[in-house]
Amino acid sequence: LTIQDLQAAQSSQLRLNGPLCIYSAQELKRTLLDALAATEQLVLEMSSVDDIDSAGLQLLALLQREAALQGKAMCLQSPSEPVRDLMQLYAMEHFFSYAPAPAPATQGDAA
Amino acid sequence: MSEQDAIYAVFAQEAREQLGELEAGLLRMENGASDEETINAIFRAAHTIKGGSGVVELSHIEAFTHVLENLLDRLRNGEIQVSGDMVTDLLKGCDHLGALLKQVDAGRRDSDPALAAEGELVKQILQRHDAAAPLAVEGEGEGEVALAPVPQSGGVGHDCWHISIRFGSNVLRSGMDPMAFLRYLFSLGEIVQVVTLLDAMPAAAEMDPESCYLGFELSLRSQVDKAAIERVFDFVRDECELHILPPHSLVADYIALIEDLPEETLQLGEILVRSGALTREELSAGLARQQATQAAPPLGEILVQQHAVQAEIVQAAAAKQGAVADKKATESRLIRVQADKLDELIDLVGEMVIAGAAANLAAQITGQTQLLETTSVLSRLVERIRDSALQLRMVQIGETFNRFQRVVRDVSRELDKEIDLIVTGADTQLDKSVVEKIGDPLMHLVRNAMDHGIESASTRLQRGKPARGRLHLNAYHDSGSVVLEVKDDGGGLNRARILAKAQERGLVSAGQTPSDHEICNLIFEPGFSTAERLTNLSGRGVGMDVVKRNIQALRGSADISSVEGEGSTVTIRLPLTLAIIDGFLVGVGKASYVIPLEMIVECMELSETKVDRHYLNLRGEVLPFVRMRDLFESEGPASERENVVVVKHGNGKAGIVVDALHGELQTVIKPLSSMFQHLRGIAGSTILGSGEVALILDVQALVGQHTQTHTQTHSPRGPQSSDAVA
Repeated sequence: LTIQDLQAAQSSQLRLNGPLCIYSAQELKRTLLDALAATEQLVLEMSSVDDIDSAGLQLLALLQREAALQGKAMCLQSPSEPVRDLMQLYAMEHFFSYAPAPAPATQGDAA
Repeated sequence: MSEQDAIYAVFAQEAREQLGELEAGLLRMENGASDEETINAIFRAAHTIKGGSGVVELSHIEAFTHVLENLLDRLRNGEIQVSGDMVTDLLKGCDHLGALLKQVDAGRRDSDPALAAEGELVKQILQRHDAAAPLAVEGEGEGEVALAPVPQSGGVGHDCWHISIRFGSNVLRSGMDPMAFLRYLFSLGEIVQVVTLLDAMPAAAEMDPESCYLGFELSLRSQVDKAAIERVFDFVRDECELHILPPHSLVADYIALIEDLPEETLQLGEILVRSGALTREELSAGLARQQATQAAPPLGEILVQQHAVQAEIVQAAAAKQGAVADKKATESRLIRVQADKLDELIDLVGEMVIAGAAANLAAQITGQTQLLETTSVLSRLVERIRDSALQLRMVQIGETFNRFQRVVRDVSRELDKEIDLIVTGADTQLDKSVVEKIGDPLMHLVRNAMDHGIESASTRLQRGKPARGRLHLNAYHDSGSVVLEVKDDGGGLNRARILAKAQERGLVSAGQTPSDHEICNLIFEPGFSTAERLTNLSGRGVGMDVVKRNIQALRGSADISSVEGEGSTVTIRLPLTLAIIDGFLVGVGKASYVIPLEMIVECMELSETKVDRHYLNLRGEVLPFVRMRDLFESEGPASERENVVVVKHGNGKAGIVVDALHGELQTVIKPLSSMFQHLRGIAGSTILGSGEVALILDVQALVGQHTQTHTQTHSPRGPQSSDAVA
């Protein structure tokens, strides 16, 4: 899993790549909590998360809860198929906030 | 006792307590207390036994209790009505359960074939009542397919399995993922509702991302059976908490689920949502209204008013919230201690009392003021330790008394009489060992009173009494002893018949005219029964003498008084404890004897020393006396001055003549070895501070025995002389 910082300042956007699962959970917990601490609005771009397990979803839930506790905003952006599947299975779609997908296609060529 | 045995022992003990409550509740219900609280208490007791037996894997008990619980559940939901027959059958169920528990105590973990057969029979009897209910019996357990009956009032209106699962924290680490189980589960049928619970997840700092904090409340519409659902979770069975409710479960089952859920601090509404009994929308509407009306009736009430939820469910949820707090409080107040540990403590305290007395004596000999002061403080503390140690063994008589509710009920049915049992003084405390031993004699007296004492309803009406007989059990403390009374409002004793029978048996010689009170007490003589007919309860002429002997073995006494036509009262007087007594030390020749202090009325000098008489004039009363010197054939010259210790004997007084009076002492009773057990007049022994042994006198036996010999050899008017003064 690699993380790219897409935006700075008041709002920060992180892109999660690769599998979001128990093997990287410890590390990810630290990274994401630190990121949340440093900003007012955290957006997680999730279109490239190619796999997720219960530990991963549980971690996202923790982050969402933590953000609410600190009075901050945390949104998911463009969750990938596996993420949406699991959320649906757990009926947790409404547990998370979502950021609108970026207006221009990220590839840029279509324009 | 191995750890495993200990678990079973604890289970059996707790189950027996629950069984007691179950039985008491059933009896209350039969007497017309069909309020919700009683029925709930009964149901809870059965439910707890079932749960407990499940935990210790005594599946035969679990299966049997399930049948009982089923019936109770229907009662609770008002689907069927209580009837006397049903209570009788439910009580049969209790008895069977008691028998099963006895087996557990005996170390048997599986079902005994003979008992199993009885169990099947009882089950059938119980299910007969079930059949009367409009609802088909829903199967639980392996392989049984749950029926899908038409929804009715008690059932929650959805046709789904309700599954509650809380995954253990190590599930993820051991490579299992809840999502796999859910996916598999949903391959079995249609998923209707999923609620994911994250309540178990701690704050961010403590949260371990590799631990699992997930819990789910699931609704599944499916035709599979329970075993199939359970199989889904086979791999995590040991690491999760799983509850499965079949479709159309009764409200009560959801209530039980609410009670079982691990979440404690949940809001009432949340619990309701999770059990699927109402939706989140209904909940938020209820919450909104509660905020609007500041006078704030409880949330539960609002929900009920809006018909969003059935009243029982709210009650259970509220009860759980209360119970969580209550339970914590009682847990910290009560400790279970093994009885033999207590006995050991009492034993040690006894030794300490003796050692303390020795220290006191030694201090007195030295005459050092400082030492005397210290030892006196010490002996005061020892006394207090003794008292609190004994207090530990004190239990209330109420539990024993309440057991008779059942006896009275059964016997009065058998005899076809209507009898009410009234219990007073149930909080009177006495030593546990006494309580254990008094049960049988009491049982006999109670049965006797019901069988012979209380008349049949028609006779009662003829005599102008209410048709319902009354049996009164009473207990109170009286000067260092406990008094138990068994009182009936029956016909009383027929003195003429007793006297005739006594004369026939040679217990009273023809010329004697015993007092009324003496006649009554003749029924305690061996082989005495005036019942005209024998019943299987009493009247065989064994019993009353055994009762008296048992009570005497407890250093107690039994006495009966009776008014013809109005009833009889049996009064049992018992010592508070068997371990330690306050005694009065006397000397005869070189030997020392202890007389229980509670027996002593007064002491005085014996001024007249004529040897041929066995009575003296005590302020105008005749006082018979016993000379210890003669009785125990003490050697040595008679002392110049003799003293009389006046003791209570039955309703009268008697004197014991001794050489010296040494004063009060607290003493520990050491029972005599079996070699001496036939010795009459001696209750035990004790070791004095000086190391000498002193015998403790059994005053009742001593004086009684003496008056008897006295009667036979000296004067035919013997017994009268002792009681005429009463």
